[in-house]
Amino acid sequence: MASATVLSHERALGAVWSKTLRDQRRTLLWWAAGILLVVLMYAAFYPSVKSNADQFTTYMKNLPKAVKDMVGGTNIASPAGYLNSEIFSFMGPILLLVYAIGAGARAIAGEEESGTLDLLLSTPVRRRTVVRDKFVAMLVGAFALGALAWLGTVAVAPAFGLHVAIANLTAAFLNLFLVGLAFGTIALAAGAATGSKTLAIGVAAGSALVTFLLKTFAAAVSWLEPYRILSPFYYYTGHDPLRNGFHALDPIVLAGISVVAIVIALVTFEGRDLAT
Amino acid sequence: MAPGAVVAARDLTKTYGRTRGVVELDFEVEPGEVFGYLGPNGAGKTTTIRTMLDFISPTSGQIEVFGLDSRSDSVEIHRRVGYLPGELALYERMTGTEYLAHFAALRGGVDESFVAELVERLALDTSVRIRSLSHGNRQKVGLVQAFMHRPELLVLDEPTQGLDPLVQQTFYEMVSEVRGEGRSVFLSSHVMPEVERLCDRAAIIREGRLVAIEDIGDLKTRSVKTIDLHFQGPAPVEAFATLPGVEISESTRDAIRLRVQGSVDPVIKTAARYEVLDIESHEPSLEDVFLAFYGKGEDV
Repeated sequence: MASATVLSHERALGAVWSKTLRDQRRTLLWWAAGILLVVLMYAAFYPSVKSNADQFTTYMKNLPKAVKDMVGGTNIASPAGYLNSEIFSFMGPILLLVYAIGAGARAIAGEEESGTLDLLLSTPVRRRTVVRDKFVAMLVGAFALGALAWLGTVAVAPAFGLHVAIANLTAAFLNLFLVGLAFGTIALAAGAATGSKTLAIGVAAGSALVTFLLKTFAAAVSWLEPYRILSPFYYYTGHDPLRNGFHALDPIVLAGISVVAIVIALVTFEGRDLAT
Repeated sequence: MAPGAVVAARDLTKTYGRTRGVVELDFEVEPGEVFGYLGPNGAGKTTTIRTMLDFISPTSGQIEVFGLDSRSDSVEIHRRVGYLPGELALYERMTGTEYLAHFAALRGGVDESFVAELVERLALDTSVRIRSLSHGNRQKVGLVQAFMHRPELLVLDEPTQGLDPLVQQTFYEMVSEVRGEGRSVFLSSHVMPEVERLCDRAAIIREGRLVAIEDIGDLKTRSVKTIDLHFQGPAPVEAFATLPGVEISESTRDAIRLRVQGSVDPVIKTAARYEVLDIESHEPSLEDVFLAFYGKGEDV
């Protein structure tokens, strides 16, 4: 029988995370292709944007400050400004967040809603091991997407005149990965605590939207400004890693959000009743 | 608990919100026995099983498996238990082989030749993706998964749902073998004949409460069967009316419906004196079983 050879090649250690990653392999490939396409496309547009720089700059100058900040600053003719406005202000985080929030919501709540969690937890695998393995799978997936986007940019961007120091690109993509992971882990935690996938997606996407708007408007509304430090997005691009490089506080805070969320997931999931 | 009880429920109560779960359950499953857990749908069978496996925690009381607490020792319990859920949900995108390999890995490896043997006995095609399997074939995957590590205790929630009669037969043999090896089975069912056939003892649960724990022999003698007799000519109602343990529940011009407790022998002997066109015996329903215990079916 065919299964005889298969049974021994997987072992309990890592069985859950390797399965979770394997389940995602097709999805991840599509995300990877999408992200590479986005990077390539924007890089390819840069030369024509640069040649129309004057018009763009005039146009941008007339925009309200909040809008300017939302699209990543005024100087979109410079390589850093262009990448900020095209990739890091919107498309990048959208892609990373949608992937990570989806993976995080499916991790526990998805399995619970589909009923497969019962049999998984009937094996001698601890609940906290399942949470940990699902988290690791999501982390690996988000990291792979971030790393691929970084690689694509590093490899392709200079060919179109987008010259940004690799160290600065690395710092920016590290923050991108970490902000995606943070909201993915929030989704995982909300799902682990409640068993509801819809709620998990709602909590993570809702908090992402609110904190994104907070960060954006804090730049323009003076009484809001002190509160910008409450937004993960402030740590994501607030110190402009593409221009200023690595800023240690940012990745620490962003990773800290994931750490807090994963602890909440571990604690709440441990003793709670599973849904039928 | 008595030394060596495989499962022991002590005053086990689980309530969720406003819906009833189970109330003050007390029972023990002895080593080497097949213990039936009989009750209508919604009686609390699945709730009991889910506390046993620590999917849910008792509101009060406790349940022990192998003398281990369901809450604090769940991992050790899981190691030694094989479980088939009542509502089986499998990973749809895996093939049978991949699924079994995954669960073998989660259990730290199992005897592959035994898995192969189970797959062959149940005539399961493991090369197909689970999403394209019929309900009966999914149930087979669930059964292999539950039996494959030769657990000391099998917890089976309505195991024969969707199995065709031939496979049911194989399943009955598998359960007998488990008993033969001194291992134990906790089998929930809402079908009396299945419990009669497989179990040594059975607990009867209704609306969250245990109403009886009986040896199967006693259950059989106390349970009431329904027999329909069709006669050539007028039905001899009087001839049956006086038989011990027999009650005439309905009669028409040429047919009688009898409710028989205990042996059907007097009925057969009496019927033999007349020309019988047809005889039909109905499997005792759960209501019939409750009737035997309480003298009334509804709202016990």
